Amino acid sequence: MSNTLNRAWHRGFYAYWFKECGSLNYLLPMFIGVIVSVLVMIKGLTEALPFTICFTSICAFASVSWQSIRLQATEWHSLVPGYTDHIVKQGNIIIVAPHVILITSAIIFEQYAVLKLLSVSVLLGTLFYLKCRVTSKMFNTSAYFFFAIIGFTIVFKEVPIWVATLAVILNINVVLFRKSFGTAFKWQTQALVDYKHALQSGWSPIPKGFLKGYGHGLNRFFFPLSYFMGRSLIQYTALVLIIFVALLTLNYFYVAGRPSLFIFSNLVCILAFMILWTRIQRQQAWATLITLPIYSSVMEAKINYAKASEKFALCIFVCSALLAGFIEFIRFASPVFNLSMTYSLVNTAGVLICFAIGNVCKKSAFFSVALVFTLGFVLAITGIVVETEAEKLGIEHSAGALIYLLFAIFANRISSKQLYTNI
Amino acid sequence: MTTALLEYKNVHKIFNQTMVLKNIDLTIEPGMVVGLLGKNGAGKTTLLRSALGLIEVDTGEVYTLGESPTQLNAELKSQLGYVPQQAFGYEGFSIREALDLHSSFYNEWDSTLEQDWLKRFELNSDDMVENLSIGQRQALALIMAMAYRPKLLILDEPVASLDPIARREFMLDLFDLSLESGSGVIFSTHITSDIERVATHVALVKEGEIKLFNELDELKTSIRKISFSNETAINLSDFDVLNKQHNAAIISGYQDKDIAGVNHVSTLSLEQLFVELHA
Repeated sequence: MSNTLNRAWHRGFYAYWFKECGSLNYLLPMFIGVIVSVLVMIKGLTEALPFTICFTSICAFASVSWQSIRLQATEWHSLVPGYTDHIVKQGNIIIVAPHVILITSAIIFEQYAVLKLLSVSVLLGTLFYLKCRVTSKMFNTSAYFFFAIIGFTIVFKEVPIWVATLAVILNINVVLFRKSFGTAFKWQTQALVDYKHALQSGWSPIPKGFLKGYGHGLNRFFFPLSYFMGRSLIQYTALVLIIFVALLTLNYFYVAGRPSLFIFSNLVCILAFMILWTRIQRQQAWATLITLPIYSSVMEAKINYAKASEKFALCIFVCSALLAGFIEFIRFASPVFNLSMTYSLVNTAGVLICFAIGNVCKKSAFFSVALVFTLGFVLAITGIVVETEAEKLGIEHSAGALIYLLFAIFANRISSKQLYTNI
Repeated sequence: MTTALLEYKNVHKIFNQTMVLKNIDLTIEPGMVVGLLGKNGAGKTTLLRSALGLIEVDTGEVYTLGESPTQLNAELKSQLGYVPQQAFGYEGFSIREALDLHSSFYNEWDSTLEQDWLKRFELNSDDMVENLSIGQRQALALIMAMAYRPKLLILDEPVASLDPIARREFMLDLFDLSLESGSGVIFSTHITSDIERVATHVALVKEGEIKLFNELDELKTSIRKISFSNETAINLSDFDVLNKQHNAAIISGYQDKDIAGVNHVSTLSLEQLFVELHA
């Protein structure tokens, strides 16, 4: 008996989806993804299409899946007549609208391969969403999705017609039998804990207990950055090393130089994002940090924070240099100094630029928006370096990269003085 | 005969091999304001959640507005108000936006009442929900649960985070609302003075069991603490013994008559009774 007739579908839409930093984090990339995908189709740049299409599709599903965790965490939602249906309707629009635009564009610009790719990405997204409707435990899988996008697009660049057909049939069945996944959006006590943990950790894909009790020395080394991050910083550092070793191993057996370097840059930027996100979520920790008998002023604490982020960037520099050097050594049987130097300088600068942007952002919603553009910028520069033939990289490129890094260090130091401390 | 707004019949619930609700029998009728008193972990929240269908009971029956809580339709839901212990769900909204959306789900929304309470709780409509203090969030949740004048109000520690003045005013409003519209209210709390101020009935929960359920006035007149020197010399079979220690007991059913062997009989405030029962 709710007065649904008087309520337009978009009532509360902006506040619910765009002012909650969790869903905004996925919605914004989704919008950018739609625009870029359409532009790419217009220009006929088929190489880039699989990536942009999958990225857009997964962002749409991730945003709605995230809000379904929020619904499960909201104790009263099922008691308000029509509330759940209203939110679900808005979620369905968020899922359907970008896909309709992509499909229409693909038909108009005759990019029929996109349709096959979309059939697979929609199936995966639907499965992910339907699972997230019944449990709050599955959401971090979205983080894995993001990590897997690149590999996914490489694998599915050419989706066979039979796979696409099968995906469509499966998708229809999954939607028809969605109730067999369990009761959707049922309130669960654990959901609020999962919601808050995911929000604070920036959807870290690392299990909560990973490396528990280890890394005290590293924590001291990265202090006060580690003060905000807790165990997560050690986990992320370990993850960088694991990825580094995995890419070295991959390159030992296969020639996958450029994609490896680009993947490493992407992952490093994502880790920087998670670190900054967590710090912004825990801004109130400044108050207790200042009360510790370590720093004589708030400014001193901020400067030390900037130094700690530079130490993290130094680790990235070492890993990047070793990775690029090793890859080039395998390819050319001799180390190519300019590529490894330019790549590692640019990669490190990118991380510090992200930190600098994070320093001036007070709110996570603003940070999400700012960082999307920052990531686009720093990854574009890294992409240029990676795509350039190693032989064409001279000492002038390394010098340019060094200037870029010095600028990033300067930006990080200066911006750290603007860190919002809530004091 | 009045229809019960909320009815528990021999309800049991087990969580992780612990019985959190034990043999619960409780009926709430229009006009009743029931204060649910109990220690942390006594089972108050579980009791309230089971009335809302958020938790399903293992045995026994619960009827909310005459219907099973898991089968409540939209019409019944619009007669039900609930304030959880932890207000969550409108992060990202300003107070105005949150109330605008929330009110759209109820035909009977009273905008005047909403505005009155916004003023009373000194809430600024432009403030963002995530920036509100715990008390302010609780106040907003109360407005959202009460502005459509529900028939049954279920409040889980609704005023714990409010300041004493707001708490006092709110509790009086709660009572007025119940009287005016014939609503039934059940609220859990640790604050015995709140119960003494507004509740018509008290239910005392201990270890998942309702140890006492009675009208507040009746409770005050019929419950006593008695002291004695020789435990074997007294006969308490005429009374309901709520708690017995070496040389003292809490009894219910006292009728102002002398009891043989008893040295001293004293009245108890609700707080004293609560403490004594948990001694």
